[in-house]
Amino acid sequence: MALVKVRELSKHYGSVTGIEGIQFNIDAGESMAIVGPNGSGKTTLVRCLLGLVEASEGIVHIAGNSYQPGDPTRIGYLPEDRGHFQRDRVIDVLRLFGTLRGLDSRAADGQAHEYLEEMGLGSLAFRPIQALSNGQQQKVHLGITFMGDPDLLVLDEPTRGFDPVNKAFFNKYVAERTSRGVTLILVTHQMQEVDDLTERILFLDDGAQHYLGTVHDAKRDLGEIRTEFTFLGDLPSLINDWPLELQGRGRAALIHRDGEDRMPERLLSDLMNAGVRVTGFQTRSSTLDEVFVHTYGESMQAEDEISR
Amino acid sequence: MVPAFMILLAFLVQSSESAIRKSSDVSGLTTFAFHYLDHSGLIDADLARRAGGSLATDVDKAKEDVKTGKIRTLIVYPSDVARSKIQIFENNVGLVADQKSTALARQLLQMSVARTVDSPQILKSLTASVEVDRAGYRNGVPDLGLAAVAVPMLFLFLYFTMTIFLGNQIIGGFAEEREQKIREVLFVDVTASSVFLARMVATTVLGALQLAIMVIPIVVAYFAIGPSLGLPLPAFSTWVLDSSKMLVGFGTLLLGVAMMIAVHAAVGAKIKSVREGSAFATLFIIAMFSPSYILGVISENPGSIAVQTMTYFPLTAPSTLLFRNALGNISLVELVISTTIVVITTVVTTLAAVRVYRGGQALPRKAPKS
Repeated sequence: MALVKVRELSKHYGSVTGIEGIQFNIDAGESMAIVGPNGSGKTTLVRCLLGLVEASEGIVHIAGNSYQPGDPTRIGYLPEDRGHFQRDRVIDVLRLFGTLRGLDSRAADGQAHEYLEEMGLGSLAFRPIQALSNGQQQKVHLGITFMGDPDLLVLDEPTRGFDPVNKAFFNKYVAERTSRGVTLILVTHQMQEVDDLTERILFLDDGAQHYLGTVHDAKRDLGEIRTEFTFLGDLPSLINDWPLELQGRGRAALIHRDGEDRMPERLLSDLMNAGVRVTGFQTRSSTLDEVFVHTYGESMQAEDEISR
Repeated sequence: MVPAFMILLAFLVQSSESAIRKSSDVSGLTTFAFHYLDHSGLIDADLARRAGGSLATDVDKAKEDVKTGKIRTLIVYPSDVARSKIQIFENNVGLVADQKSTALARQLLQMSVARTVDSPQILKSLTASVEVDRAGYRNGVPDLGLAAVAVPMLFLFLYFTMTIFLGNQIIGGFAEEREQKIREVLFVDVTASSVFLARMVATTVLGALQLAIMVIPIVVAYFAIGPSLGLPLPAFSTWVLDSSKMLVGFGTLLLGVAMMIAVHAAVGAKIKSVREGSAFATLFIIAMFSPSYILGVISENPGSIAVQTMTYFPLTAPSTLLFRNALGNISLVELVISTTIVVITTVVTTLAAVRVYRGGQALPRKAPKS
């Protein structure tokens, strides 16, 4: 049974459309990323899911119901606009959210200390949050999200403000939880995070659902196959029939759709027959970053030009 | 901290007051070392000596001694005190030195002359200490004046104090929550309505507790050490405890504070910063105090349009009611209508505030339209 069920979900702010006709399921233990350019409706979708804003139309069910605080499904939400009780002590804030999610005070205390030790913040437990650095505050906020061992994690740009070491550490931390069956909804612009942490991906464009599928399928369906090779000398004119993209001296690439009539094999055969001294040859799918640029690049550029 | 500081301050004031009081003798005459010359012949030498005075013989030399600091004060009484002024030459030390010697010069003259009057009637008439017994009536019954309004007015004082203190706390609390962007995270775990109402109640209880902690020690200290400091104490024995006025005062106080808390909370739910909130708080305080500006009209012409408007306008109603309850010029009908308006305003404001606070949050179990 789907833990999260969304059908024909729309949210309008007056005449402005936040999201329109969104629908998907997320099974318990599954992880899904929501991606899209700024203003594409990601945060609105998350807010509708959690009941933070009332949807204009459609159905949003979490574990079979419109989600309300106090429901058995525990949710750890890290919002995009995050803040803290700045003057309160780190441990007190973590305890508070632990108890709000049903832990007794001793369990909340234990879990808070455990998290702080894991994050290397054990010595800061009794400091007021405002005395911490931005990165440390971000870790405390993530701690708030994880308190009470939520069944569903909804993380909006979780690694914003993290250095690469902390990003890697955080990704490992989340991956451990998803491997234990925690469901994850990840909103991010970091495509590497999507690749590392989620199985499925939802592309939003201008509030509408542009694509929904597995990360692997998205690369195939929205991306391209890149056959890249390196060579010595010049390419003979014979090869000019191929729509190659020269990428500097001795480097070229053929960009094509998956399954287009064994193109890499034919290209390599032609290069050999033409006497080109090929020193390297590989075929790979687009990365998610390339898929993102390929999907949204043109429309974003057009918007930039209009706004200019 | 504040109460402890106030108590410490009171003790310091008390000790310095004690030192000052040592410079008065049993007859109430101010005493300190001074020199005097008496051209009038009215000054009682014995009284002057008891006040610390020494008779000077050479006025020019005495004036020179004042300039050089050998003599602190020289008082010269003229031969005709009805036409000429008493002259005082003084080496100034403190800010109030002048007033002290002036008082002494007058006191010494008055007390010296009083000693020469044989008739107690003349003496009492001249010193203006004849007592007056006044009987006042209002609406056909004896009017006890300030004694009758003291207790009901206490409710007004409490209303002003609690509203200002709690209003600021509530607006500050909500604004801080908004500025620190913690609502969204909270609202996933607790409904906005619960957070709002809990914050209102918690802030009110904590604020009232803080207020009590600050005020009670000051009041206790005032009554404990006030008499020894010479502070005026209320004449409790003359206060009239009118049960109906006290009941109305207490009820109006509770309703008024509840309404003002709701109004402040509604503003707190909407504002984005403390600064924005303080502008609204100032408006509420002006509205709350505005009946004080027409107190004369309230006491003498309660049927006037201004008083009637303030009786029924929600933000001014509680303080107007409390004034009129103290003055005893409010009718039962006016009281019922006005308190009903206050109650309705409280309920409507609270509901609206909850709605504003939760923003567009979905209501419990209300599925989106499909």
